[in-house]
Amino acid sequence: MLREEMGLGVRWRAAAAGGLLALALQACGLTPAQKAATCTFGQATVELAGLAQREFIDSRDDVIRMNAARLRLKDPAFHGQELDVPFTLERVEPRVAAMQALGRFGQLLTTLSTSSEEGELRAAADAFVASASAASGVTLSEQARTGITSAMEFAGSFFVEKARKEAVVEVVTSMEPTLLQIMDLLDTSFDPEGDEWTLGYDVTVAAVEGLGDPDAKAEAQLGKQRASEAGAHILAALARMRDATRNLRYVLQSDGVTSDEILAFVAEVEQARSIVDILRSAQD
Amino acid sequence: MAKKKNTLGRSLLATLQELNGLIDATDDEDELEELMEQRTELLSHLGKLVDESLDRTTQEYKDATARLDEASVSLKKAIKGLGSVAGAIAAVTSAIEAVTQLV
Repeated sequence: MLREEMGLGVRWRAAAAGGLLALALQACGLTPAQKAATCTFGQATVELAGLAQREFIDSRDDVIRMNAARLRLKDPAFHGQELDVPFTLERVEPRVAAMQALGRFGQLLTTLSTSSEEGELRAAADAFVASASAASGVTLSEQARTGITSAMEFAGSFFVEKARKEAVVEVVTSMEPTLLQIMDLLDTSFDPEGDEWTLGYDVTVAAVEGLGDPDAKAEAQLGKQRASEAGAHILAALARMRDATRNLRYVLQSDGVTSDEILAFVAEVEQARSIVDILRSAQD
Repeated sequence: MAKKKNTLGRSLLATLQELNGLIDATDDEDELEELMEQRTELLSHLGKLVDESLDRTTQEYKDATARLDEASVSLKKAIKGLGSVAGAIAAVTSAIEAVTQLV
């Protein structure tokens, strides 16, 4: 009897100690503020990626319309060329694929901060890795790929909150070089003074302007206004995203850090979306 | 305000835009024909330049960019009647020759 009671006591103490340890480890997980920061950053990233992806596609559509006008107006400088030059599929697809990868990254962070369901986490990670691997302009190192995939194994873990934090940190850290690469691609593409994407658009506008047709010229200039404004707002949101990326790292390191830059990023993306929506409706 | 980058593509585009202006302002058929030919050449070079990363530090790059900028000035003067159309055409021809060495 005494031995039984003693055994029960030992088991009770062991269970209590285990429970306390579990509580302590759970406390090492993401704080509500850190979860909110990760989730908000992820959502704004999804939004920005969608905005930029749509801008690449809209600009290509504009160029096709402008070239159709050049063909109709018998532009001597436009014969035997495809209607989508200079925004051929070879130029557009890598950019669209990079934006899809960026969106999947944002979605992965959002899922990581809100879900513990293994299937959901695995699906978000697989979707991101697949889209990043398919994007020709994006490099995802083997180390990052493995790190992200293995980080998703926390869902079955007993100490789920501690493991969740480790997974978020792993994803944010291992994605950093790839994220920088995608942000640079956006920066150069929307640079209004650069020789990349915007030059292609501006050249087509100038080609139409030189044909002396007032309707075609007005339509080209309206498109140019939308594209310039959209590009400027995407660049502004991107600058905020660079700050927010640093902010997220600090927030994850210490729960005393505020997420001001992340909130500024969210506000900039929301503003960009509203303005671009208005400009798109004006053009339609 | 951000300082404008003096890239070959942007200089070519500026020349094309000024050329458009002179085409609008010119009545002489022969000059118009020459200007339209130059427009085709500029557009052809511009088409090749999009997304291309040329070495901006070479002397050829700097020379071509400078000649394009000179051509733009000549075109502006011709539009305003402060210079001859023939002079502007010659400046554009010289700029196109320099660009052809690069693209």
